[in-house]
Amino acid sequence: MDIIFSVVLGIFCVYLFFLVGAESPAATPTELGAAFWPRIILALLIFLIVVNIVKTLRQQKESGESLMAGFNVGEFLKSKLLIGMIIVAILAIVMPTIGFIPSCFVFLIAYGTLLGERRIAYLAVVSLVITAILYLLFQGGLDIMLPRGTGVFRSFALFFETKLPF
Amino acid sequence: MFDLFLTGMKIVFTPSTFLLLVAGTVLGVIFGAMPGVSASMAVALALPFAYAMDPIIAIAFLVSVYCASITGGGITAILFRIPGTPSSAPTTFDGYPMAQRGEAGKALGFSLIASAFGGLVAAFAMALISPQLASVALQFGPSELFAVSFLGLSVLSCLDSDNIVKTLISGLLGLLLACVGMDPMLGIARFTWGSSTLLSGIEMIPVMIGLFAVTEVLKQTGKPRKVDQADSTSGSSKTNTVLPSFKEVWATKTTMVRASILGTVVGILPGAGATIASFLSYAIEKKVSKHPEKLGTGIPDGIVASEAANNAATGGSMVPLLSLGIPGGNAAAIMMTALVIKGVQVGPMLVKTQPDYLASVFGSMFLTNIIMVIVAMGVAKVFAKILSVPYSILGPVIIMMAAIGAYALNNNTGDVALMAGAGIIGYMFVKLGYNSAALVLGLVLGQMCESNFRRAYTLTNGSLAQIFTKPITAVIMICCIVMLVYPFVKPLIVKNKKTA
Amino acid sequence: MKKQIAVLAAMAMGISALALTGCGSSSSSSSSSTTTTAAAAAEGGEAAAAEEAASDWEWERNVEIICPWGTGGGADTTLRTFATALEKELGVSVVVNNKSGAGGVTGVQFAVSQPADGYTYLLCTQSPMLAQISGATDFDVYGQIHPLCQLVHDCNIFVTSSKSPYNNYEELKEYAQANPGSVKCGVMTITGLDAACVIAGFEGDVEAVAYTEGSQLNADVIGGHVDLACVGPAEVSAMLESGDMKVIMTCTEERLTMAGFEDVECAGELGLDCFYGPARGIFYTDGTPEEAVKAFEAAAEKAVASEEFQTWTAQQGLDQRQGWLNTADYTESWDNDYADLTAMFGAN
Repeated sequence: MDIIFSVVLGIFCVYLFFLVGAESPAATPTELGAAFWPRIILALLIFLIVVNIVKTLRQQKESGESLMAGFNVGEFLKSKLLIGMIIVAILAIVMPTIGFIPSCFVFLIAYGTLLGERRIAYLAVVSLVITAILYLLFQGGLDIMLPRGTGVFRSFALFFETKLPF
Repeated sequence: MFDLFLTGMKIVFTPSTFLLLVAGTVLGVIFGAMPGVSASMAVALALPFAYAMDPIIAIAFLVSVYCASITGGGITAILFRIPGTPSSAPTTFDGYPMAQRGEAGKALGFSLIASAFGGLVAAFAMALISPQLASVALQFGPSELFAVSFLGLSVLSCLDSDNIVKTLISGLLGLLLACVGMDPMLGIARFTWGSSTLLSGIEMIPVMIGLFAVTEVLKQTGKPRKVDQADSTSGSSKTNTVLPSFKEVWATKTTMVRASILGTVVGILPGAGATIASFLSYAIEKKVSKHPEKLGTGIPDGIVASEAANNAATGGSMVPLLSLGIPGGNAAAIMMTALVIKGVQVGPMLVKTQPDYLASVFGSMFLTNIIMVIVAMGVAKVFAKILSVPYSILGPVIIMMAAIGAYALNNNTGDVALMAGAGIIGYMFVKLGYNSAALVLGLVLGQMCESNFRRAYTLTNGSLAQIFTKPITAVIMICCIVMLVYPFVKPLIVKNKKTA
Repeated sequence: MKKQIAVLAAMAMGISALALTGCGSSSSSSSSSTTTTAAAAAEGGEAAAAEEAASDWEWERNVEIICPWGTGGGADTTLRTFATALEKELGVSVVVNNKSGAGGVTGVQFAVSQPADGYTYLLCTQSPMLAQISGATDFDVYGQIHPLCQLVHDCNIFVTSSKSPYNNYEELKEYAQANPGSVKCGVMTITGLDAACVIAGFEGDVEAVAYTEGSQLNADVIGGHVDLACVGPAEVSAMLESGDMKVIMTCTEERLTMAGFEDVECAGELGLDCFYGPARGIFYTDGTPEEAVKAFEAAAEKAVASEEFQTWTAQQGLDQRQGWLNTADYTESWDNDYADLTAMFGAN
């Protein structure tokens, strides 16, 4: 698994190495240019990644392990971990569109269920209370403009904002 | 000196001022503990109060909010692995494992005592030798600052001695992430693929929160069931806040003194700051510690190194403000504008003509750092209560707080995506044996390192010789090389001794 | 469990109660002044045409102004002071929304993405436009936002360490020509207005070097690591007062009237075409109702003229140049800046 990761990372670094050269103008006698520093880092990275691959391969040969040792794809796909990751990713993706209040409420229920909470009604009430606390605290108290979302959700958020006592 | 101390005490022990400072400390600790409310934001939030005060009291009040907010950041770092302010990120490395073992009280105790100590050292340094310190700070130009940041990076080679290659890769990835966005010197877009979210660069706060807090919740999610049970029982022991004994604190004295001095010095340097101070201090602790392998597993030294340094840096950042008129960071800059509105221009002339201001800043720092311990302990107790909430509620709330924290930095949902990405990729990254601390270190120091090197290059018209022969630069660079090479040479020396 | 929730709630209430007073400046007058809208607008009297158009528009809910820079900075404090004064004119709350990132471009993009309903405006300076001109972003800043009115117009000045061998522009120019390539000037953005001043003021004799932290730039000037710095007068007033720095030249048409600047030459008298200075103004996006823009302009003029705002600009040293510009004048100056800066930085 580590080897696959390293190879992908290595290829990406090589791509970046050439990309950064194409993106920035040439250096002048008194300016090193925008590509200079990233290229040093990328060169070192590529070198170390190769060292790492060789090292890991050697270790695997000695211990006779397979490429995917220590990692069970099937199990991972069925695990709660993957679902957790997906829920977090969805949260980040939908928040700009549906706004803070709905996304926070739904997220708390979804993730709570994932973590083994069975009493849905109880969870819904708790999530609602927590959403309200967070909203009042940050939007109201600390003056942080939480995401409103677009379209209907925007009107929904604006409705709450006008209802805030402060 | 004695006069200054006396005037300072007279100012801060006026009953009304005293109460204001206590309020400022409470406010600061709470703001600091909130993810997404940085120290400078805390000061900005406290401004409306300050406008209503006499300027001498206003500055004392703002200083107390500032000092306390840096301390508050350590509370959530220890309890939830969410650094409340970026400067307490290194506190999570040892603080969170300690809290996991049920020693949250001890961890918090160390963090607060170290904070207070660091703050006091800086306060005295500021009051006694401010002009001298300022003239030292002026010696640090771009090439010297490059050397300082490189010193921090050179620690990468020994962060995790079991897997040097992977640690170095992690650190370099952090440096690479720091390159994303507008190039610091020419303003050219690098690695952005036309996206404006990437144009602002990879902000370190969302990455830190994602790597530490979100990864942790994911880890708990992945664990087989029964976690709930175990967690809620250990939860009750977590809420106990047994303070460390005097003996235990005494054992960390060297670390505490070292971190405080280092923090003060780094805090004074314009262009550095509390975050860089705490990372540098933690890194150096790792280097000089008698048992470096234990750092990161949950020992007091790690907490002390980080918290003493970041609080000392807050004091340090007041030095250039008072003796040169240069605010050493965002928070100091906000204080300066606040006083301008009151018709007071902060700077060396003010200190000369109206020494009451210096006395007031000193008095406030002195008092705040002491009452802070009590206030922060109280706040921490309330926060610790949250830990006894069942994990099925707490876990999602931690992620939600992390999301708000990432968002509030720029009010930008792009940062929430960045945080989620850092959390998810970070989980796999750590699973594969890479080092997230090294990555964050690279990210924190990357821009300072690159921009100062290139700035020095331009200023010397492209002469590398001129850069590296400056006395301070040369000395620091030699230290770096020794640090970098030592882990590779060490086995050879040991071998030689054995054969000899 | 109930108890825990109670604790959480109590804590949250406590914090919000504390913070409530903390945010008073920006959002306190929401409820009290709603009824006075019409009265305040009608009382004005002067600027009859704008007034007439203004009456076509009723402010019904909170107005939001986006600030593309963070809390506590120069742009933010200007906007917040203005917002407080504007609330009194409009009769509704004016909320500041900080959306920072990418040198201001993120905030501009956000403003453009919002519905143009007449309730969302943007504070902007020339910086995001410069990011477009220099090619750092593909986003069409210049084409997507339109100037409504200018609030303040700051200026740039050149400062050096008091130990430098030159005292004025002539001596500096002579020194730079005698030692080619040796004089560098620190700026905050290499494709910014400060760098534009360096190019226009010294015609290649002085090279600009970018800094990321203003504090480091000032310290480097005093410490002698960099020769010159191009900064705003307010940032360095303490250092000028203490004698650690001296001023070489101000990039203005006339000499500054602030204390300590009486003897400093200005670009105007030296015959240099070097007048760039950050202008902060309000912008609107495509599709914003014309009546709303007109009504905003009328109210903003009064807000800028208010004693509150004027006292603040004087304290900040922002009263050296004409601050208020109406839509027509500001549009003209914005277009001129676009043309000049494109000629200077638009090469790549």
